Amino acid sequence: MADGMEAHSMAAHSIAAHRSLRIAWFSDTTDAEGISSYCSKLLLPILAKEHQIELFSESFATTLLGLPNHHYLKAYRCHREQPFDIFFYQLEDGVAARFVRTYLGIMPGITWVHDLFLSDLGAEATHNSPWEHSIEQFYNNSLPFAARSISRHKLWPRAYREAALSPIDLFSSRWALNEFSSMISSRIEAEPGAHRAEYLAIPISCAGIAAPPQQTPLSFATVCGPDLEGRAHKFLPALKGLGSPWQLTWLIDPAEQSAAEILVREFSVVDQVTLVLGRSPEKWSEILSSSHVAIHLSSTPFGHLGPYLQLALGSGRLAIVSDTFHGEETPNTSAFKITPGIHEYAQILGVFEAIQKTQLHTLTLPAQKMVASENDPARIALCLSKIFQESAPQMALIMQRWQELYQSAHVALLAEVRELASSSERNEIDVYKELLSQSFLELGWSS
Amino acid sequence: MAKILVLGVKVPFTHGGQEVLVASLIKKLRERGHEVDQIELPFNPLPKESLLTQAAMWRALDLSEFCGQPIDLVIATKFPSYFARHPRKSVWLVHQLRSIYDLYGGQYSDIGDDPRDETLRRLINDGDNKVLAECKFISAISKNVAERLAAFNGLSSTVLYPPLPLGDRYRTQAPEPYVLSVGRICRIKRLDLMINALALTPKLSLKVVGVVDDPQAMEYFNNIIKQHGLESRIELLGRVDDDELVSLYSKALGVFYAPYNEDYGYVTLEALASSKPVVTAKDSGGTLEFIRDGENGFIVDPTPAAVAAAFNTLVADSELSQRLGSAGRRMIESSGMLSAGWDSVIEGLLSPLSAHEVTQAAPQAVGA
Repeated sequence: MADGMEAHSMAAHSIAAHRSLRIAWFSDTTDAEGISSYCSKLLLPILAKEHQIELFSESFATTLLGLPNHHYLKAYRCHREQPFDIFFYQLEDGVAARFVRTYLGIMPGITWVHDLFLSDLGAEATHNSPWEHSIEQFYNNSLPFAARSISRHKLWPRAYREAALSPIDLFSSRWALNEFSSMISSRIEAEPGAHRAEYLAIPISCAGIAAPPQQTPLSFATVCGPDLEGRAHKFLPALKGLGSPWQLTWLIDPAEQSAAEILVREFSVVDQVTLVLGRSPEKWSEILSSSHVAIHLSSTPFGHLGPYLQLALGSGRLAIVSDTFHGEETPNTSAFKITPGIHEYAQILGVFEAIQKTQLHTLTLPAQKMVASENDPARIALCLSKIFQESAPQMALIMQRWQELYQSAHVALLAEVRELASSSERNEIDVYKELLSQSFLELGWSS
Repeated sequence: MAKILVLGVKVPFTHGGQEVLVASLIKKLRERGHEVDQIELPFNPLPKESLLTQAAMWRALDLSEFCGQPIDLVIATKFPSYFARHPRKSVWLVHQLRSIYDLYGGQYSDIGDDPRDETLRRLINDGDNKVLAECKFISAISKNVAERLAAFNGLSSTVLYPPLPLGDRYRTQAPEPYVLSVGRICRIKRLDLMINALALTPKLSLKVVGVVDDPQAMEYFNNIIKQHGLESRIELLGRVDDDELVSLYSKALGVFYAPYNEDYGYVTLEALASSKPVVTAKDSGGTLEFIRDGENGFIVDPTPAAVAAAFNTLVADSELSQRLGSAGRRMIESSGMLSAGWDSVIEGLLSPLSAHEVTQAAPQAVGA
């Protein structure tokens, strides 16, 4: 939906035309490399002008990014004191965002899925929970609660649980949306039309990235990892095969340094390659300012090419991408696309040589236009705001039903407590009634 | 002199820092002439829904007087003992129900997204806020525990470090080539880090003091021991008496203590008091309040390779090992964590009495 919006209808739409919503924004804001953090920094200043947004994170700071912040475990109390209209989650793979993964099963909301494939199962208590049963109960409150202590199946590594628990999922990768739609969404329909899945591009800001340098030698930049999926073992020899001088700036994580150094030595390109540690969009933007070509050959369902690929395209760099996974969605008119396999080295070398010989820049203009249009932060904020506005009535109903589910859970929990307290054969009195009920009342645990 | 009840929580067949803390506190209160007794209820973490019942049990106790003798003060220690009701309640917080706070969402918590689990979490969280706020004096055994209390419950507290249980009995002797690990044997203490590290430290053996708290974890540790063929280099000593413990500390090359987000960790202090360097991890919580990397021990990544590298450094450089150990002992001596530290602990815990007229007169000498 958001992707298909016409420009004129977008222009006609105004955030201010709608009521201000209270939004609980669950997102990592600390990981410099994280896509959630990057999106939050670009979108929140725009969205916060129109909506009352409060951040929920693992931090105990009272403000983050200029907005009120709470530890995520306090969300239920904040909601109890002043209800939110929308719970919004940014889901990505990685430790810093794991709390989002946990909490989106606690309170239904809108989830922006940046990573459909997650590199670990997560905490057993969450992963091995009866979440599928909870969804069924949500639609049919006559069902009893799930039996305790049953080991449940694991669907890994897709974010099956995470996506299923949100009534509205937004995907920042078309490839991931297609994957979700074909493999998962049909399996979680508890009610016809109850679940929505849409594409929403990530915001990109190319401000501060200088124009491509005019001078030679040809300079390349990459954020690909040094593992097999990063394809460095293909592009490094291709670079070495170039006839004239070149240089590569390789942005990696500190943990990847030794593996990258081994590759650089193996292909005898130590003098031409500069390793820069600490992958982040900010550092990538700095590197792009002195680079002609961006290499994004990562070929894996894990991770996300954004915002790195879009920063390169949006700032007018030639880009070379893998025609697999997330790379598939890059239009042929915007980047050179490479198919992994036995001809990969030859394809990459061919592209490098073509760029070198012809100073080929025909792709840069359409790519820049595409990013400026599709990834404009103001536009994304507007889309998101519209999604919030449109879904607010539906979310109110969902939250009401969820509240009813929690009331049932409270009753079920107290029934379990009573049963435990009175289950001993030696008990001649009802322990709960005679000893504990007064305490439960006084503590507010029962009424 | 006051009539005081110290409230303890006992997991049957285990023995940990809280038991030591309660026993030490009672002893020190009695030494100061107070009439003190201990109230202890068993604690069972399973099934988790019984946690409400166990908290309510504490709440249901009437601790205001016994046999017509009013109780002047109760001192609660850890969850759920602070649910007890008393007009003058101090808490010396060892820890709360960590699975709903700092351990939530991770591998050490069994609280998931089942709506009943979330309801349980909310009820206990709300209950904690209510009953802890009743306390006339709130203290915590470490900065780490105090910070959790402030962050999750919005309650400020005084940090009162528990002085060392064996006072000035700790000593040092020439090191022998073994690493000492002390503590309950369960997953969160991460003994597996040291066992795996032992495979990378061929010149060392490992002595483990502590009872098995989690049989599944022990089975896992035994598998690792077998996998690396370490049977001859690891001694599982179980629980030892105080004299043997002091002796084991005194002759160790160094002490491994790297639990995940430890509340406080007597072991750290005992090792330092024995002039032994401590190897701990960057995410070990309370231990980091005492260990200075490269000064009195090593703070490493929680990986076997990093732990092994630290101990191999101690093996290779005995002078460094001795220097780190001596620095640790100096820290303990200057911090007042030997028996002298009890004055401030007791002064704080008994502070609610200062506004209250103690009803029980001091016992009079016979024949007076």
